[in-house]
Amino acid sequence: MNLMQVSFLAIVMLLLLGLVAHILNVRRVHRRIEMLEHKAVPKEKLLSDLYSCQGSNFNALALTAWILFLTALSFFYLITPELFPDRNYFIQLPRMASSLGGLALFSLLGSMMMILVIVGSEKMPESLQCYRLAELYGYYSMSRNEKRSMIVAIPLLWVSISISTHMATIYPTFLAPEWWGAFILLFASLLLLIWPMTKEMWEGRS
Amino acid sequence: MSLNQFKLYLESWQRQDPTKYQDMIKLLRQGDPESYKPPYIWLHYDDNTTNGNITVSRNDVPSSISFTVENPNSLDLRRTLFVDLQAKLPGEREYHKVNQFPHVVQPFDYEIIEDEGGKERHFTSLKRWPEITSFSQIGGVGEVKLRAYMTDGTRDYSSSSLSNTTYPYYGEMMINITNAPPQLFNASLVGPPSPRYNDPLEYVAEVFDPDDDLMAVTLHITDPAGREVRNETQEAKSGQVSFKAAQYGFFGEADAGKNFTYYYTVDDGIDVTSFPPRDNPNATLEGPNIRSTPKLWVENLHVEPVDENYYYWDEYNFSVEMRNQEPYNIEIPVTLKIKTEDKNWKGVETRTVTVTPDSKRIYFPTDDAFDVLDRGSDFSFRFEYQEYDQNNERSAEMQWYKPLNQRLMKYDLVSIPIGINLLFVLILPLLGGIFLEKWMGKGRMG
Repeated sequence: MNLMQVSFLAIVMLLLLGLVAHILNVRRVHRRIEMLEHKAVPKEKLLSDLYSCQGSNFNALALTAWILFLTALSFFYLITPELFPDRNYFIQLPRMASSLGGLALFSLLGSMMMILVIVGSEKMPESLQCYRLAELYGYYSMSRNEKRSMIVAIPLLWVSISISTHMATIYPTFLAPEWWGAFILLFASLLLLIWPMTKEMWEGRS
Repeated sequence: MSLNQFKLYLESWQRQDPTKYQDMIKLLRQGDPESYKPPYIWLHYDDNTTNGNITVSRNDVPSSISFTVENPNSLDLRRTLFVDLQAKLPGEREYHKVNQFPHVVQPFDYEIIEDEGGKERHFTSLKRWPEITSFSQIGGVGEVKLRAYMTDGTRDYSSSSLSNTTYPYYGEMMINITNAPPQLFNASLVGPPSPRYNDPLEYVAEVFDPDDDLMAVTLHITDPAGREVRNETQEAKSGQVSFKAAQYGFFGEADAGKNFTYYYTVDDGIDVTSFPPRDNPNATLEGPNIRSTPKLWVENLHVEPVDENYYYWDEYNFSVEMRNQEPYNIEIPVTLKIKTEDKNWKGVETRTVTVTPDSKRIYFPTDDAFDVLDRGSDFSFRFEYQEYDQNNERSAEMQWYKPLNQRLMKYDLVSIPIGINLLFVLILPLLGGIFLEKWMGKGRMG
């Protein structure tokens, strides 16, 4: 397994960590509420009561960050052929990729895919509404500073995308510091995006 | 003894001894022309026959055909005999003389054969016709009747008038004459392997007729569909025949680029035989495959990239030197095609160019030669044209062993196109996030 594959696995694991943390957080709250109430509480009612709006600006930026994350992930792994020699952007869509607006179009593709995932997650039933991406952070209490910190992911991801783009422009030359820089920024951004879930899981573990 | 005394003796013997008188008279009459007896003639053939019937090919020599004359006359009465061999050919009613000069049987030309017991003596003469060498001149096949025909200057005698003949004597012989068909061997086409229409070409074959007939040898030239396009005939005896294409003008400029086949027919006047046999119309001999007449001279293919780094997005100037070998200008479409390791020949550009008798370099500048998939690949390029060149080809190609650069992107990071692209990369997700929030309103307080 090469470095590229290890890094991809690390990203996937981190994403899974966020998902697992979110699931455990919701379950734990549900269990504690039922213990306090001494009766069964319907999950739909619990989730509705638990949800609190985080503000339109934050929510729009959070969604922007997730869209940008998928774009940055695509730029990092799918523009150059290191991880997927036969499945990268330039092999699959060579004309589009080598056109003047190839990167913007690739970004558009990534954004559209993430928007579709977000919109698709809205179709989940009420009992699973906590997994709707647009409502993800509504189940966590976040301070203003925490929100600011999380939004830092956007410029980090943008820098990561820029580095990935530079790596593509100089390919086949490979600069390891550059690669590490882009990866760390990507990884750090994902950490910021799942930070509320992991923090809640850590703090509420007892 | 005087004549008068001899007369008196005869008159006396007539009266006194009539028997002796009669013997004397018989003796005296032996030289009398009125006692001449006709000679007999037979054909004599001592090879195996079936009742006088034999079967021979036209040029076989029936070597032992002879005749036998029996002459019952005494030497002083015999006359000189002239004997001919006569034949009645198939379909004819009359006999005709076969030999040019008659055989002559002189009066002394007999041998004496005595019967068993020596009671009778026979005067016979056996002679052959050495001039009979073949029946090839009869110009046909079938049954030929032979007979011997003889004259003594006064009367004619024919062997066919005799019946009840026995081996080896025949009044008439029946010869069944057959024809041996002509044969052809070692047919070949002598010339360059891929000739031009005006190259020296010679069709050579060996013909043989067992009957040694004069043969009409016909060369048939056919197109690949088996249709006959030309034929020429030569008369030949057994031996080699040849047809020179230039002599007969078999091929012209219009035949350039065509493939021909050929076969022979040989006619000996009776049988016509094809070589190869025409039972199968496709059984022909191959050749010639006439080369197309080249009009173009094509050389010095070259490619010049704008950038020496050989990026796939660069403009490449492909070129070739062309001239017309004829003394006039022609306009022909020329197509540039390119092949890389992963892609087969791909047409890049087709252009009608004027080719002059003077060599001229024709350029095909293009920035559409390669795409991103061709990175790192060697490439070949080819010019295709509708006229034939000096190699009898209608294309010329070249392998370029300097591989294309592996670089993916044309622009540097710090450039306007990349800058604009990255701006979009930032704006598009931002717009997506704002749009989703406006649409779903999940973050609205209260």
